[in-house]
This record gives sequence, structure tokens and C-alpha cells, in this order.
Amino acid sequence: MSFASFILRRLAFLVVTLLVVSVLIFSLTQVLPGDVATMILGIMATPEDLATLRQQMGLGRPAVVQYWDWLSSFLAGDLGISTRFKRPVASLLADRLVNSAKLASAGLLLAIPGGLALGVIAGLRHGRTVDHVLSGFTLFAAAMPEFVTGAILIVVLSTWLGWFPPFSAIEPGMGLIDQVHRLALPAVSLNLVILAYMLRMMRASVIEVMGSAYVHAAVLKGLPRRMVIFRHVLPTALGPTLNVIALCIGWMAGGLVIVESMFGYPGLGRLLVFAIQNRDVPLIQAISLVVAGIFAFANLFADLLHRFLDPRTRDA
Amino acid sequence: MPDQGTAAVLAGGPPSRFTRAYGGVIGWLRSRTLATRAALAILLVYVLLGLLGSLLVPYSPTAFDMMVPLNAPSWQHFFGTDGFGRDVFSRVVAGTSTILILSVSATVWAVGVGVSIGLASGYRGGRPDEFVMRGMDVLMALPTLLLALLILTWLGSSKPNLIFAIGVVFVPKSARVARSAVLSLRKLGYIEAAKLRGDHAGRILLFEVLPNVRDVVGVEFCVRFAYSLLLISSLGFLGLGVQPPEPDWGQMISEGRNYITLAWWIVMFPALAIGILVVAVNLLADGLWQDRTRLQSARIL
Repeated sequence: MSFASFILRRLAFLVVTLLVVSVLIFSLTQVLPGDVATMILGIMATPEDLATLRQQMGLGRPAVVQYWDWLSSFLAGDLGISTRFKRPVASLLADRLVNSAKLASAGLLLAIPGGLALGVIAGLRHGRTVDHVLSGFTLFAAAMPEFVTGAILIVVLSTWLGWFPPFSAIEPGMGLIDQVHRLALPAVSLNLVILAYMLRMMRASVIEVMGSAYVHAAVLKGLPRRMVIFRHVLPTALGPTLNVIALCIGWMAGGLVIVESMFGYPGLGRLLVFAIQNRDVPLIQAISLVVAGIFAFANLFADLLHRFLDPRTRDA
Repeated sequence: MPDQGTAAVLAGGPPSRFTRAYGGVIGWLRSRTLATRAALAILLVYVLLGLLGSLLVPYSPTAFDMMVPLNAPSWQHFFGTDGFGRDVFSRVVAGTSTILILSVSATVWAVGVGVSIGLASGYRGGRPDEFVMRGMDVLMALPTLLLALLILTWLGSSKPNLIFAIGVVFVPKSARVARSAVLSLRKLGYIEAAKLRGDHAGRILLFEVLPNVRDVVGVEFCVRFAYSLLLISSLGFLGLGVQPPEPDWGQMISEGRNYITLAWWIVMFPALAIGILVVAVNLLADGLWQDRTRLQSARIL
């Protein structure tokens, strides 16, 4: 199978998955207890007003028609009006998405190279002290839920030592240094797990590749060690680890919800929790679908990259 | 490298009276790594706290005492008191049984259903298998926490719903693991033999396949258990898990969050309780997995 047809097949699969996921999201949220019209107008609304609004919003129509309307306007960029904020969902999402992306990338920039580098070090020093220390570290770091890491970080670095602010709300006019200072604790709590996973994966695959016949051959034909590692070991060892990056981005979607709530950070995750608490259906639907989309694309990207880097899967 | 315990078990050396009586358990324990044994010890402490917690706590975990709000840890209140004067130590201890019962039930149902689906689907193969696994892929197309949140928003939060939601989220993952385990067995001689003997599929799955994937299922159970703990306490933290007044570690952390600059102990102790438990479960899962590969290689040699 050529690379192009592989991409096409994966894209088709992605579209189908997202369609099914959108049905899932729609049916889970549309049957929420509580009536959307009542939520918009409040409990003091007269029955006539409610009936008019329901008519306007088309709430009485069959579910399939409602779903089609929702999906087609979603694809056209109209994400509906938030019942709680009384504002278009799209503009709400845009701001929060930027904030979440900032938090996520701040951490990923640290976690991915850090995890890879440490993983390579541990893998190449397999069985020695460095390896044991790093492996011990991953055991703790990978196991801790984000809000536990966050809570401990806040107590130690903020309450006890006073180095960082305990809340991380960032405002539009803030300078870069201030923003980094505020982002530091949430970014670390969000990415500690990811760093640990990257390290673990990279270590395991470096060890595996180092033991393979073609690396032995490369060593035996007298290539310098540096050449063996950079030219033969790392590209292959990166493959499985890159798949983990995609998983991590999915994991991050959950992590963001937790970390943003923990640090009071104005991102997508906190908006989702707010929307759920207020049963703001259009907002819940939009955020869920956006997150599912990002997740799906991350998976696709990882697959493509994996195929691109590992010659065995490319030519097969 | 098998240590002496394993070697003795594998070699089947002459058993003393003691090992004949307790050999199974002792031999099993002795053949484990130190980390696994430590993890088991920690888990035992948690289970005991869960069972006997209500007898041990000095105060009611839910009673307000407005005379002692936000007291620092002292001999009266080991872990201090929260904003309503509730004893944090009593609440942490009382939260143990809640989270253990919830996570174990959620894991049993997720792994039970998931493994059954995975085994049946993988054993059957062909179109039905393809169909089932694509369905599982769709459930996995949403991030775990997001799917759990959506299900709980839909159903409302209660303990049975919490268990149900976590099951739905984890069933596809267990199914995948079980399926890949059965795929490697399907063409083996003893399965073929059972087929030729005329055994029906259910019987083969139960008596031939399941016993041979029990290591995989055991490790899967531990891993899922760790994830269930994470998910339940995370949902509690977000307000969709265990509902007040019943004490729950995640919920305690989110309540204590507002006092974090004044009273670190409200957040710190439940955080440590979760952290230590989750690390112990992960250690156990890791240990079981390593022992499995180690014993396998020992068997082959």
C-alpha cells in the first residue's frame, strides 16, 4: 500500500469515527434531564413563552432531524448559543482554546524532549544507577493523578515556599515572564505523567532496538557508536514512542479538565466543567466534539509519523 | 534471573511440613520481588483501614464542629480540621472504604465484561470480530475522562452510575487486551484438539482459553484498578463522583482547594492517601507483569 492510499484510508476512517462520536455526544447530551427552554428563560417563564421558544428552537422535532441540523450548522461554523453565557459558543471556545493550547504546549515543550532524552539515557545505560533512578522516578510520576501532583506542588511551592502563585488565572494584558510564572505549576502537573510515559517508552524501545540484529551488524561493521545511535537506533526507537505522544494528547484532554479546575485556569477544560455544572447543552456538545476531533487528529498524525519513520512499515 | 524462591518452586525441591501446609501462598510470595511484596503490604494496610476504619476514627467524619475550623494538625486532630471543623484524619480514613469498594466494583465489571467480549470476539474471528472491535474503537475515540463526564452528566451522579460509567469507559480497553491474548492461542494444538473433540465454544473459552490467559487478565485487573482509582477520585474532584456529605478524597481536595493558602493539611493528606495507594497498585501491576515474563522464560529454560 502506498503512503498516499494509506493516508486516504486513515482519513476515511477518521471521518467515520468522528461521525459516530458525534452521534454518541448528541444522544448523550440531548436526553439530559431538564428542559433547554426552561434553562434559557428561567423557572419564572410562562408556559406560552416556553412553548414559543421550543417551537423556535425546533425542540419538538424528531431526534434525527435535530441531529442533522446540529451537525450541519456545526460544520458550517455555527456552534449555537450558550444557554448560560447567552453568547455564541464559537467565540467562547476560541478564547479558551487558545489558553488551553498555551498550557498544553508549554508543558509538552518540556515533557516530550525531556522524556525522550531521559529515556535514551536510561535505555543506553540499561541496568546501571542512572537507569534505576530514572525508572524509579517514572513509577511515581506516571502513577500520580494530576490533581494530586497539583495539590502537592501548590502546598509546597506556593503555600510553604511562596515561589509561585496558588492560582493561575492569566489575563490578556500580561507580560510573557508573568505568564510563564503563572503557567509553571499547572504545566508541570499536567505533564509529569506524560514525561514519565515518554521516558518509559523510549527506554524500552531503545533497549529493544539495541539488542536487535541489525544494530549488532552496524556495531560489528565498525560504525562509530555515535553513528549507530543516531542513524540506526533512534529513528526506529522513536516510532512506538511517537504513538505514545498521540495517546498522551488524548490523556491531556482529561488532564486539562483536572488541572485547569485545580489552578483556576481559564481554559477549555474548566469551561467544560462549568458547562456540565450548568447543563449548558450547546456548550457541552461543542467542547466534546472539538476535543474528540483534536484527539482523532493526534492519533492520525502519530500513525502517519510512525509509518514515515519506520522503514519496515513504510515498504510493507 | 529467578531468585532462590522461584528456583526452589520450579525445581520442585522436597517440601517440608510447613511448605506443604502454606507452600502455595509462601512460595508465591517468596517468588515475588521486594517491590511487589511492599506493594501488597501497603494494599493490605488500606484494606484493613477500609474494613476497620469506622472503629478507628476518633471523630465522626461528617459532623460539623464550628468551634474548631481550620485547626492545624495536633494531637487532638492528627491531620487538622477543615473549614467546617470536621476532622481530616477521620475523613481520610472513612474515605478509604468508599474508594476501595467503588474501584473494585467498577474494575470487576469492566474487566469481566471486557475480557468476555474480547475472548469471545477474538475466538470467533472474522466479520463479527471486526464489527465488535470497531465498536470498541469508537468508544475509545473519546478521551476517557470526557466520556465518563458525559455519561455521568446524562445519568446523574450516584454510586451505581459511577460504577457503570467507569465500566463503559474501560470495557473496550480490557476487551482489546483479552482479544490480543486469545489471538495468539487460537491456533494452538490443545484448542484444536478441544474443537475436534466436539466441545462447544463456550466450554473451550471457559476451560481451555481462560486458564491460559489468567496472567494477562490478572495484570489487566491491576492496571484497570489503578485507572479506576484515578478516575473515581478525579470525578470526585470535579464534583461528579461521590456526593457530599460522604467523604471522598477527590472531593476533599476540591473543597480544601479554597483554603490552600491558609490550611494546607485539608488538601495534603487526602492527596497523599491517593498518591500512595495508586503507586502501590502500579507497583503490583508492574511486579506481576515482570514476574510473568520472568517465570515464562524460566519455564522455557
